Amino acid sequence: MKTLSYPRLALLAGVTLLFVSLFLEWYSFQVVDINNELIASWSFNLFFEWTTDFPRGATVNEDYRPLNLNVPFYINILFIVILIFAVGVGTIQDINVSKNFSNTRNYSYIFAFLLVLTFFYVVLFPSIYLYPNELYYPVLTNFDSDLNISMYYSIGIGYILQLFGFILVFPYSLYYLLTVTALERNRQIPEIQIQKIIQDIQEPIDLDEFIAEEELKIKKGDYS
Amino acid sequence: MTMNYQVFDLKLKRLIQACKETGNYKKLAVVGFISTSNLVDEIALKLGMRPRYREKSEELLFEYMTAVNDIFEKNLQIQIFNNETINTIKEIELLFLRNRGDIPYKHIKKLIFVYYELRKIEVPNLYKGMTGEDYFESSNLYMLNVDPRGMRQKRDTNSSKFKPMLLHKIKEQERLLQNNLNKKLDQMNIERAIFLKNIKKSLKESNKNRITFQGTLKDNMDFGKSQNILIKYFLFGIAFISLCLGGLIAVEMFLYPNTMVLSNLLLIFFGIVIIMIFSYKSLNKKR
Repeated sequence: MKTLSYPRLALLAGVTLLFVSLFLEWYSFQVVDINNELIASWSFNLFFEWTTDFPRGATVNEDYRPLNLNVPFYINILFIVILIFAVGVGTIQDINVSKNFSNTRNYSYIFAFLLVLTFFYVVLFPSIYLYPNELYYPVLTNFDSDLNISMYYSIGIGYILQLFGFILVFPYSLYYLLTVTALERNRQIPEIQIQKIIQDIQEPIDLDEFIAEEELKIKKGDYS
Repeated sequence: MTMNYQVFDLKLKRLIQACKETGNYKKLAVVGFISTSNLVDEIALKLGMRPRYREKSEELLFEYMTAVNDIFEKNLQIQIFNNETINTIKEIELLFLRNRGDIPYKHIKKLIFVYYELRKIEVPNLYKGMTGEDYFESSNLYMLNVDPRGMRQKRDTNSSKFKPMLLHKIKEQERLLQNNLNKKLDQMNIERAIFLKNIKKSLKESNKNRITFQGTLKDNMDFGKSQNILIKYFLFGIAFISLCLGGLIAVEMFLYPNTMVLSNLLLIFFGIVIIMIFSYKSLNKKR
């Protein structure tokens, strides 16, 4: 069995974290009274919206229920599909030894989508869904002196895993995209650019300097 | 060409005379090697190959020439550098490395001879746009260039009858081109050879109008540059996400002044960005 390189292993680990994160808690909101007693507790999950451990009918808990965030369901499904494809490409294909450029180019779209969607969850999720509902990011304790209650706002383990997942998938995905872009660009590279690349690669030789050195030796009679 | 060869030749002649007089053949050997290596690089790059590995695992000049030949033999059954030239380079290069540049004059003469032989190669620039027009006007294959509107469907049904005949003709042409190219490389013939390969593939498979060259991305000239940058992308990823999260918190503090307590977190995120930038820069310096 072929061994996977570290970047690809990181990619697979990252994709696994991203996948697992979708089913965990992304945000939690708790209310504690003056006696330090928990009176309300809500957890947010991308698929199940707000859930609570309190029994149904606990009116205080119900009073503090945050509004539904309505993260589009199809985005979550699309994300899962992209993750499955990314695992497939990451396991089967190594861009460094790929022989088929057109396939590589097609696969690069998967990585582009993966980065865009992860960016959506990590950066756009708080700004689009949390801020408008006055759900603070990432962790905040707010004491309400009128009601004598403390409110705890916090991101959950799901969001944290998403963050680490992004950091892990980012290098290989970007590498894949940029390599494909560079190859694509250079397939139609004009002659001038080729000449520039040749000049960059070639070792410079200063024949004038060499000639001057030797002629000086001749002048001095230094034939050693 | 990247340099003015007339001026170069005059200077090289003067240097040879001076070195002969001083007996400093080492300098001549170094110049001979650099010039030959540069020329081989130029030829290979124009053919779309990767540059020679020079940093970690140094690839010898004759190894690189063999790699170029392998790719072209695999795809078009032609040799870019002849075996005799490669063997001469191998002999001189190994001696040069073992003696740290001190090689007998007769080898330097051979090296300079090889350099001028390599200069005779007419390097086909495969980056030049290849349309296939005019290539087969005078040959029996002219019909392959004709594709008037509305005729495609008719041609498709007829083409299956002619397929074996066409493939036979193409193979004949290919053999002729391979013979010519193995005697002398020239741009027109190498482009024709690629074009024929393209047509043959389209005929054999579907109607893909694409040249498929066997080789990996590692053989491409752009690959070498991108090999050691994954670690930089990792640092860049952390810096990027820290910047975004810092920005998010800054916006939050602006929207809700009661979240000013998050300013420490803001400093931490921007601190990470600065650390990553410095790490990235120090990594660049090391390389």
